[in-house]
Amino acid sequence: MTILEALLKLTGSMPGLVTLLEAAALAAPDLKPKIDQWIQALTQSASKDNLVSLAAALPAEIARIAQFKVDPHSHPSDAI
Amino acid sequence: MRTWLLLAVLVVPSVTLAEEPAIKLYAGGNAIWYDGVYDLPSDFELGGSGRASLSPHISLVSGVYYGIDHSYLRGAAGLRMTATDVNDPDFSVGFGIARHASTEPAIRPEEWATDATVGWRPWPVTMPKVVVGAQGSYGLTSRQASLLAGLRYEFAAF
Repeated sequence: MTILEALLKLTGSMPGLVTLLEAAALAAPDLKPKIDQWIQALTQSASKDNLVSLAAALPAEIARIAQFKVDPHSHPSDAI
Repeated sequence: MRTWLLLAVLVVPSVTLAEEPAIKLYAGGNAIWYDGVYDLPSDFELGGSGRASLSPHISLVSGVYYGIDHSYLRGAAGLRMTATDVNDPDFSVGFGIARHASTEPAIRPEEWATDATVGWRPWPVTMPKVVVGAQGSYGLTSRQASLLAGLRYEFAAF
């Protein structure tokens, strides 16, 4: 399995999350514009083009991690 | 005098660089849905999570949560890859895989599950430690989907 194929499998739970967000947008109309942004970002991040870019970046990062060279970044999604 | 100058050369760069901490810990709560009906949540959970950011895209993540209504304890640990701008500290989407287990296997079986997660810091200036988000998860053995909406507060970073 290639990195890209693995990433495509990992996005399998995305449609369910989009459904939850759409339900939340219906329940809270004031938040709909922000939730719509989230849905758009989710959909775009799971696009094949984006996953190809991600798959291209990962081998170098894995190599650096293997050399114990850590480069932390702040991602709110890591907190959930 | 030379000693003070040497210390200044060593200390000032480390202060001005302000590196992102590799490890962060959060306390939080979730509303969680197990049955695919998005009316009332299946349960509410309290607990904590943590992350070790290893590279721009790759993090190790984990969490332990207690389900208040059904009195269960569940945990997960795995890998998550950020699929949005890695230099945006206020919004991100991550895709990952984690090993799940719980004290109530009928609610959360022990298995590997993929996940898609959205995270957002709604008040990055006034409340930078508060994160809200949502996650969809799919069990690879049970083929069971679960969804959660969560609130996190960062209480430690190092």
